[in-house]
Amino acid sequence: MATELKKVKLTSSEGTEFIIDRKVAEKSVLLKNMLEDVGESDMAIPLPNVTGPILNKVIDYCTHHRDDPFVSQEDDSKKVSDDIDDWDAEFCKVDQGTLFELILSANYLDIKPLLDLTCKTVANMIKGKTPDEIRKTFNITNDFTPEEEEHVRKENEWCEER
Amino acid sequence: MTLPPEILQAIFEELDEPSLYSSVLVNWDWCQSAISILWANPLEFAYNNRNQVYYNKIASILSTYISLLPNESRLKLIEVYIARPADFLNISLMFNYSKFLQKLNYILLQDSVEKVLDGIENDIIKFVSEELLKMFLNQDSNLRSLDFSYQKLSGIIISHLDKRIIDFPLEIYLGNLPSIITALSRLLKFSCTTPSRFLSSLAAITLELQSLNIYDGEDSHGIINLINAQKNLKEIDIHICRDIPRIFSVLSNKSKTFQKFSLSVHNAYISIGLPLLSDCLEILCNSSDLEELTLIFPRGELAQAQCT
Repeated sequence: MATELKKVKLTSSEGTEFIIDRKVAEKSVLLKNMLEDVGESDMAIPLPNVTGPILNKVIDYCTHHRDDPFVSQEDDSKKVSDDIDDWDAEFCKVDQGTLFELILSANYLDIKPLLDLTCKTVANMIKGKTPDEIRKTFNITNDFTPEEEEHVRKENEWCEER
Repeated sequence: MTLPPEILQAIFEELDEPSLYSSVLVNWDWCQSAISILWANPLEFAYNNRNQVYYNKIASILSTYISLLPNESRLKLIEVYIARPADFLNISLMFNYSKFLQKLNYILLQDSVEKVLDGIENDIIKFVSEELLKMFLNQDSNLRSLDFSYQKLSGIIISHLDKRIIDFPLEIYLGNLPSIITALSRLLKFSCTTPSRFLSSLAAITLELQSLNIYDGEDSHGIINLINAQKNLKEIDIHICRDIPRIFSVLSNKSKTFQKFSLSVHNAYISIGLPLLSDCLEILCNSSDLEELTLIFPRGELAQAQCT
């Protein structure tokens, strides 16, 4: 009766079906809780918020990390963005749209290590950049009025590196 | 594609202060998510600077906080300290920065008041520090860690301190301000150095501590009450010198949730004999999540073990 061998069916937003090991599915706390509630079932679990290509990536991640120990929610190992291993770094070499969708899916499916990894990847894209460089990188419009911007600058300039 | 605020916050948690500073200047959405992280513990960041610019940083943070004080406290300050009233008088700020504070070391707060309002008398330093603390311990405060000790401060910070003696403030407010009681009840982490009558009062209010450091064993009654009131203590670092059997008994009652345990037994007042190593280990026989254990005995006898 090893849960290892059991399979779980998932359907992505466009209806594509994925069949994966239950152990891989359980990397997602959302799916783990659902599977525990539902018990034995051959019904596919619909994931209307996740597209096929993104679900594919998420499954790749969970399969690679299937044997990792569970990380508790409260573990606040802060500011260690340098500790991304090679496989994870390679995994995150995707276009920005995909990266953001991965973040949203990891959040929705409640896969803490994947959420941490993708957030760290975005954080690394911010580090060392000026506000203007950040806006260019993420295609963001500056909606401050010049007065507001000056206020925010002045009130927070103590944390500027000098 | 835009990310929701809680995700932006998770990203900003990974950044250092200079990158956070760039982030608050990107646009309104980013500013609103990053600003609370930037102001979670600003004094410690400012003090932790090898360079002399640390003083300007402290001055800027403190002026911001002082200008957020209620009018009557500011007016009292201006009355006694007329040299530079403009600094704290007519500033209208973009945010109420005081409510973002998550961690406060009161030694740094007092020291910064003394440095920035230089030349003022001790009782004014005490007054301003206490008014600021009152503001931080507010109904909608996010303060979760309150520290009255210098034991965990970095060498750089300690080298900047002019003042290491703490005028322990809190006993005067406890019981007469409901907002302070609410804020104290939410604390997750508490540290203190000096003996204080405050521990027993805190025991009636603060029940959710996850981390407790007490570096002075004088008030054994307070230590016992405070530990006994807790429901979920994970990290404990205490120095004890009296009432050892009673402290051991309350520790073993609470030991189930311990993850880090550090106990230092002082030499000074022991008349009943030292506890045995086996007594100390017996405390922890229910601590299935224990990750770190440090026991420090007098006569240099040191037992340190790491288990997984």
